[in-house]
Parts: sequence; structure tokens; C-alpha cells
Amino acid sequence: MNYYIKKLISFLITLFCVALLSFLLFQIIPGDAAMSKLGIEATPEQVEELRAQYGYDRNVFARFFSWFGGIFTGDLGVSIKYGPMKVSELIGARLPVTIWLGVLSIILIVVISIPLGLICAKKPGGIVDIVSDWIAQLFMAVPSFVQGILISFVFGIVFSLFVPGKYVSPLTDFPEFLQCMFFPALAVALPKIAMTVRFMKTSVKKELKCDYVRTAKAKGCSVNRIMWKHVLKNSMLPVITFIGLIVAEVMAGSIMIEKVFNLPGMGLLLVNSISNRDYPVVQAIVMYIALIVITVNFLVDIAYRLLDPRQTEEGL
Amino acid sequence: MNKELKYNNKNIRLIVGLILLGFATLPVIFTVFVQFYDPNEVNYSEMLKHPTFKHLFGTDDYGRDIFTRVMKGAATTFGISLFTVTMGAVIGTVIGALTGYFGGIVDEILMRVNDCLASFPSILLALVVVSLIDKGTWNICIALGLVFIPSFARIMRSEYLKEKNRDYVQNARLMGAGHLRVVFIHILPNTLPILFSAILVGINNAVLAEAGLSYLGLGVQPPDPSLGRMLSEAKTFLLNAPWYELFPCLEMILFILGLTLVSDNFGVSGVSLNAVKRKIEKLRAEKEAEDANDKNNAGTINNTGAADIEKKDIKASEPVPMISVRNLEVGFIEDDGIDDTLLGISFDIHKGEVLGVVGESGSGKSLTAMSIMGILSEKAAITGGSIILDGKTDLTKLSEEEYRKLRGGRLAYVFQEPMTSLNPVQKIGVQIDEILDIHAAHLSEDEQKKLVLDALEDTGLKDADKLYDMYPFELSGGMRQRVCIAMALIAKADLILADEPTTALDAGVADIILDIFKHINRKYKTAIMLISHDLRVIGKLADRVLIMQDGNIVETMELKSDTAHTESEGSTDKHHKKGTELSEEDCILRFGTPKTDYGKKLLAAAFSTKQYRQKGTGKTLVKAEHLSVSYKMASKKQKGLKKVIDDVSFEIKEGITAGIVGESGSGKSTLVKAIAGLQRYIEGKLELGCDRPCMVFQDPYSSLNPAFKVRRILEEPLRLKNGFGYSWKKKNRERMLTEIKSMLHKTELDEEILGRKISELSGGQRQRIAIALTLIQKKSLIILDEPVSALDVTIQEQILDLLMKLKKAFGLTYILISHDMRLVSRVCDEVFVIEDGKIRSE
Repeated sequence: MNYYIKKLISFLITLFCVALLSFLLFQIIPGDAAMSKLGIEATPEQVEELRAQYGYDRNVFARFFSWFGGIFTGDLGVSIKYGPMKVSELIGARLPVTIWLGVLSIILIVVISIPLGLICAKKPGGIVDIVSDWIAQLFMAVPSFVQGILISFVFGIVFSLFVPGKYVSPLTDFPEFLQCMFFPALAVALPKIAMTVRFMKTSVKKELKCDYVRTAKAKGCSVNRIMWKHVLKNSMLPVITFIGLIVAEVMAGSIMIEKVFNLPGMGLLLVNSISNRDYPVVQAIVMYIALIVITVNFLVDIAYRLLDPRQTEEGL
Repeated sequence: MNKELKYNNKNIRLIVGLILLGFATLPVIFTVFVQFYDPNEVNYSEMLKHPTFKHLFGTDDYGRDIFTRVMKGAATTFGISLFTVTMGAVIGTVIGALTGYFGGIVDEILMRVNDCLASFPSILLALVVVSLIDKGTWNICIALGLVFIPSFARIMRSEYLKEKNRDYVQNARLMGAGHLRVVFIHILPNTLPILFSAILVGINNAVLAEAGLSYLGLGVQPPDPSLGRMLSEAKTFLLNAPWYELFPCLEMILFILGLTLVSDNFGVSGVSLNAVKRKIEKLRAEKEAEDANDKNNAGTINNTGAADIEKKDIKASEPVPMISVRNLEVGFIEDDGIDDTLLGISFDIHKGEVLGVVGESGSGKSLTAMSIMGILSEKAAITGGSIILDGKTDLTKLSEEEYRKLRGGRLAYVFQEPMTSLNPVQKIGVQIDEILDIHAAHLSEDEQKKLVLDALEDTGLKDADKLYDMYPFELSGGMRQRVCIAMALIAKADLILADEPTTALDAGVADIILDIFKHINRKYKTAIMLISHDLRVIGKLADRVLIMQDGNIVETMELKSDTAHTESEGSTDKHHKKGTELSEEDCILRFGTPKTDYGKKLLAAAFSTKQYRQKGTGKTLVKAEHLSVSYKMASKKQKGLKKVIDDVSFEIKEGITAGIVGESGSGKSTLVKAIAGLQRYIEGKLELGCDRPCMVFQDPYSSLNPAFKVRRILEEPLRLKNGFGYSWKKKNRERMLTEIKSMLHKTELDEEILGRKISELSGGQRQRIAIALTLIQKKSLIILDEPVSALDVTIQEQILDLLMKLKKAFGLTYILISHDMRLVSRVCDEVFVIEDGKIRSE
């Protein structure tokens, strides 16, 4: 149990540091949100009044800790652009879209790239290997938003398979959700699938060179048995960590893809808020995205630990 | 056939990659000098024109020439990428190198910050930075550059962590190189391949990131073009002007694809195995056709090897051998063809016998066993001959499915490395049970489990029940090797191929393992093919020995029976005693006299008793009083110091060879590192009557810098000495060269190796260079850390001879570390045994 507690502590420390970092980043802006809202013509009195209203007149530490507490209570201040609307309300409405998009993308990545990687590594130089390799290279060479534009153009406009920009919660209507989210998720997943297949392939190939595979062969295992019973679990261990790292990339991808498909998620809000200089919103979104990434990575570490018997106390 | 194979996958990728890169970059460079249109010139009469000769790529919605804009945009995009990656790589490398090498609190803090930064997706970080410092070309450069620093720092840090513990780093420190010199001159060249491929990947990512930022309106500002801007501007015209999107996209694909293909070239070689396999099949078919022809003619002319042996077999009128190998040829697939390694060997294995196979590394012993088992690696293939089982089945012609049934059933294999031969994430019981799952699926689970436990107990393992549910990492090397033997036992194999089964184990454990083999051989009449480089191992067990050299069997010897042999059925305990009791003299007697020169040489080297002892002059060179040495625990769980050497006192006199022996982990390396000045945590008194000593390490491959050529390696101590002046002056380098050449002669090396790298030399040559390196430093005390144990027997003797000759010539004093008592007793004048941190003189 010791290990999990240690991991939890380290998770909380990282969380704190990430919050601090997200907060401090926005302290380097010349002026502050109050000034950017009122414009340069505002009188000093007006600015002072607004500053007091937003709480900018307190010192940095006080503001950080009230903001940090707000992460848990949901009170992260008021949006500058959308007037009295709270940042948490703005984000709360959009968070599910981004999370479901991310979940669907990761499912696509896992379901497609792991079997594909295994097949490719089993027959290196085979047709599947060569073709998938070239396709992967191509997907990695095109920016993800271009892939998104093409997918939305071909499947949304030419074939009319879905309506770009529409979002339905999976809890209200699952088939409808799949219909409107499948293609955006595919657009997020494609470049990462390409990366994961390559990684999986290398991982399996490395495992295949290990001595225990030779032992398995000497025991009379068939190629399939070696693959599924011996190599899969061993080669999955690094891949699990890799997928943990991919989560950050998926979040980055969804920022782009939400803009391409006009999906009402956090990414779109972020991009708009950046152009609007709505810093409280930007700050909160940056924080939440990082939070998702470290939480998933924390879970991945735990899963790794459960899967690999060799992990000792020193693996922290 | 060599020519055909030379154009392998790897080269094709490099060539295609370079061609793509050329297509992507040459027009860009051209456009920098010659522009037919102004990229920003608006011309409403030419709006959205499709590609023509006038406008190669057509025009955009403002009537601007897309070709010029693509090239101008590509120049901007590539420029930004190059700048950001260079910035990230330079700063990241310095941070990563210093933190990785020095460690400590700065490293801890930086790595925490790095972990936090890694939680922000890189594009997000860039977005935020750009939004904070405003848009524009220079600002993206800085934003992306900052984003790249952590990833380079991380990569370089892990490289430095890996490299800093290598022997060559310690060697450089011993020569007197400062920390910064070690970091940037010795280690950096070894990390360059990784750094280089990270840079190429980084450029790709930077191009994509620039595109992303521009798409979000935060990158290059209009009207200036960049590839990203164009891609996002064109999206509204997909239907009526698809070329607008197509050409910038194509330019980007060409560039990234080209770069990826080129960077792949620095990875692992991708020889097309399929092509080679087809080739081998063709070769075999040809050879068989030839053989068949010969056989038809054999009625009159009886000169083929196969016919000869057939005749012999009949004459001997022995029972049919279990395995008979005839003219077996095996080759390795190289980049440029097939390198024949086994050159047509023939031998038999009879039921119940122990056949020893001995030879130096590269003689083809393991290859022979793997060919019988049918588990040659993908890069090796049988190119001729046959392996007949029971006088009926030719194993080389067996289908994979039929062969599979033999493996683990009638044939079993015990590998050299018990530490890695077991699946690390499967329980021991499951791994042994698997054989029954495959070969005796009709048994119930309980029956299977009982058989597994029996097999484990048969190898002398206690608590088989408990072991069943344990993982390999919880077992010692000796226990794992027994588990491997249990695997061979469980299916009641007729033949166990034991490939150096004791080499990786400590001496005591090795003897026990040999006895288990002997016990199995007696009890179940299992034939064993025992492969070893060590004649003493063979002598303890074998009935017959094949001596192999360079892919041939040079001699077959019948061993005389020993006393333990006459006892046929006995308990395990008794055999345990017998095996270890068989003395060296008995061993030699069993071998008799070899007929061939090579056999004689091998036997002489293995049982050499040549003495090198010498008297010291009396002056004390090393004096330790109440010396304790600790090292810092590396694990995060156990912090603090651990005492490895505990309050020892000893003296080493000038001119002698002092031996330090002890089991692995006893602290002998820690002690000599303290003498060499490489240990930080020392208590007590340690006096040296000379300069800091230099060292010859066990593995010359890791103690000599793999990134340097031999000449550069040998120059290093001279460069550090300052007596030779600046090394960039030609005159000074020539002076160094004369010095180096004279040392090469003394270590009996050829001058031509100066231009080679360590990886291109043999083990013996490498160790000679390591010795030459110590001579150049002109130190009087030299520490030899297992100097010969990684070498072949005959080479061992040559190196020993050389070392002793040099000792006499230069009046050196040696401190020799070894686990080999035999070696120590032949060479050393004084021996210190280390046990549990204490020292005792013998």
C-alpha cells in the first residue's frame, strides 16, 4: 500500500506545482484583466474600482490561494468577456464535450493501434507492415487540423454523414452521440494512432529479441502462443506509459479539432478566450487540461504497477 | 547475390528520403534568389486561377501566385523550425547534460519543474506564451523554442544518466580529466546519435506546431505567408479551388516525410529478411539437386562425405544414433550477403550419453545446438546438410508444426542466461506448466500441477509449492537455472541441449547445477549435449568431447571414465559431493592427449599452471589503516550511506602483484575504486606511495570511449598532460603519435588499428589497447579489474604473458581483482580475500 500512498502524495505535489505554474504564467502580463476590459481610455478611478471588484488589489499569494481553493469549490472568478458569467459555469458546460471527445479518441487509438502494431511486428516486411508504415508516415506528416478539415469536408459536407459542430451527450442519446462525435474523434486520433502503432511495433520487436521468447520457442510454443501469451503483456507495459503520454497530445489535438469542427468544447473556448484576452478563462482552462493530463498519468502509473510484478518500492 | 542484398530497405529509405527533402527544399532555396512574383502582390483580375504555366500552382483569392507564396511560406516555416529546435537543443542539452551528470538537488528541482511542464500539452504551452507576449514571427520562435527545451533536457538527462556510469567515464576521470571535459568531450560524442534523431523529430514537430499556431491565428501575421497560414486560409476554398490547399500541404508532406525517412536511417538496420529467406531457399534447392546428382553417380565414384559416413555407420554396427548431424552448414545473413559460420560439420549424439562441445567464442557451438533445436535467430539459416532424428526424420525438412511438437517434448534446451530466459511477468509455475499445456493437454490441471512440483523438486529446489506462485525476479540466478532445468525435465526429454548452463553463475552454484545434470543423466538416461567454453566444466560431466574451431569440428575425443562414473544409480546428495570432488588433476587425466595442435593448445591454456609470482622490493606502495568505504544508496527508498568495506587494514609492497578476491557483491570493486580515488565516502587512513593509479577494466569495450578512434583514445592522456602542447598543432600531434606508436609496439599491436573504432576490434586487441593506455600514463601502480575473464582461454594466456612482461620491463605494481581463485594463485604474490566487508590475507 505504501507505494500507492507515495504515488498519491507525489500526484498532489505535482497538482499543486501545476496550479502554481498556471497561475504564475499569467502574472507576467503587463497590466491586468481590468485594464484590458476597460481599454486605455478608462480613468484610474474606474480601473481601481474594477480591480477591487475582481480582487486584483490583493497581493499575489492571497490571490493564488483563493484561486487554488476555487479549483475545488468551482469558484474561479468571473469571465471578463461574458460579463457576470462565472468562469466555472463557462467551463462546466464545455468540459464534458472535451472529455468525451478525448475518451472516444483514446478508445480509437487503443483499439486500432495495438492489434495493428502486433500484426506488423509479427511479420516484419509483410504487406500489412509496409502499407501501414507508409500510411502512418503520411498521417504524421500532415498537421492534424488539415486532417480534420479534410475529414469534415469529405464526411460532413460531401457525404453528409454528420453535422459538424453538433454535440449530443452520450447519456441522452448514445447512437446520436457516436454519429456526431466519431469523425472529430477520428481526426484527433489519426496522428496519434500513427505514432502508437510505430511505438507498439518497436516495443514488440524489442520483446521478440528477448531470451524468454527463445525459451518459449524451445518449449514448443507456436508463434501465436508466443505472441499472445508471452510477448503481449511484456510489450504492453511500455505502451501503457506511452498512452499516458499520448493523453497530453490528445488534449492538444482536441483544441485544434474543436476549432475545425466548431465543437462547443474547452478547446474552442480557449482559442476564443485567447483572442478576447479573457485571461481568467484561459488560466482556468490551462489548469484543467493539465489536471486531466496528470490525473490520467497518475492512473496509468497505478495500472502499470498492478500489471508488472517486478515493480518494487524503488520504482517511484 | 551480394550485390542484390546491398540495396536493402535501409538504403532505399535513405535515398527516397533525400530525394523528397531535395524536392521540398531546393525550390525554396531557389526562390530566395529568384522571384517571378511578389508573394504579397494582390491582383484581383487573377483570382483563384487553376494551375497553368503562368502560375504553376495557380492563384489564391487575392490573385497572388501560390507557387511563390508556398516557397516563401516554406522558407518562413522551415526557418522558424530550425531556429526553435536549435534553441531548444542547445539549451536543453546543456541543462540535461549537467543535471544528468552531476545529479543532486538542482537536478531534483529541475526534474520536478520538467514533470510539471510535461503535463501541459506542448501546443497549449506555446499558445499561452504567444498569447502573453503577443503574436508575430519572432514571438512564435521564442515561444516554441521555450517549449522545446524541456523535452531535449529530458532526453539528454537520461542519456547522461546512462553514460555517466560507464567505465570509460571513470577511466577518463582516472586519467585526470576534469568534470566539464568529461561531460562535453568524452560523453557528448556518445549521445550524438540520440541527440541528432531528437533534433530531426523536433524539426518535424516544430513545423506542425507552427502550422497549428498559424491556424489558430497566433502565428505569422498576414499578409506574410507561412505554410500553416496558407493551409488555414485555403480551407474555405476546398470546393472551388482545391489546389490552394493541396500545394502547401504537399510541400509540408514532402519535407516531413523526407526528414522522417532520413532520421529512420539512424535507427536499426532494416534488412529485408524475407528477400534473404527466399534466396536461402533457392540456394538449398540448388544444393540438394546437386547432391541428388552426386548420389546417382556415387555407384561408381565413392567420394562424397555423406557416403563415407554412411559406410562408417554400417561398419560400426552400433544402434542408430538419436541425432546424427551430417555436413551441417549454417550462415548468418549480413547486410551484404551470407556469412557462412558452420562449415559442414558431422557428428552423432547417442541415447543416454553426455556429449561435450568445447570451443572459443565464435566457433559455432551454440549455433550447432540451436540448429538441432530449430530455434536459429531470424538472421541465421541452415544452408546445407541434414540433422536426422532416430535415423528417420530429417529435422531440417520438418514443417514448423511438426518441429514445434518436438521442442519442449523430446528436445529441451537450457540457456546460458537464467536471468533473462524466463518471462518476467509470468509466475514460475505457469511457465513450466505451459509445456504440459502444449505437449500433454490431456492431463487434468491437478495432475499437471503435481508434475510441475515433482520436476521442481527433482532439481533440488525446496518449497516447490511456494515457488510455483513466485515471479522470476524473486529468485536467484542458480534457482532460475534450476527452474529452466525443471522445464527440460517435465516432458521427459530424450535430449537436453545445455548451452553454457553454468557460465553466468558463481562457482559454487555452477558445480551444483552440473551435478543436477549428472543426476538427470543417470536417473532418466537423458542424453545431454553440454556446450561450454570451459574445459573444466566439460571434464566434469562429458563422456565424449567435440572440439570446435571456426565452424569446424577439429577433433572428437573419448574421455576416460572417472570414478564417479562407475556408480550408476545414486542419490542426489551423493552426486553433489562427487562432482565437486573431482579434482583438476582428475579432469586433466580424463582428457588424455589431444591429437590435433589446436586441441593441445586449448587444453594447455585451460589447465595452464604457469607461475608468474615475483618478490617485492620491500617499499610500501599502498597502506590502509582502519579503512571504511561506503557508498550512497541510489534508491529513493533507502537513502543514506551503506558501509561496504568495514574497518580494514592492509599493505601492498612495490613490485608485487596483489590479488583481491571475493564473490560478486563482496565489495572488492568498491575497495579498489577507493584506492583509485573514485570513492567519495572514505573513513580511516589510505596512503599511496605514488601517483593515483590507473585501471584496466574487465570489459574493454565499455572502458574505452566507443565514440573515439583508437588514436584519439590513446592521445587523451597526452593531451591532458600539457607536455605536448596544443593538440590542434600538427607538430604536437606528430609528437604524440610517435609516443603512441612506441606503446603500441610494446603491447604487440599493429599500427593500422589507430584509425579504427573500438567496435571494430577483437576482444584481445581491445584489452591490449586498454593496457597501452595505462602505459602511456606512465603510472607505477596499475589496477587490473578482472582483466582476462571476458576473453577466450587462449587469448587469456597471451594477455597474462603480456602483462607480466610489461611488469618486469617497467617495474610496475599490480592490484588484481578476480573471482577466479586459480588465476589469482598463479599470478599473485599476496592475496587478500574480502568477505562481508572484512579483509583477510592469505
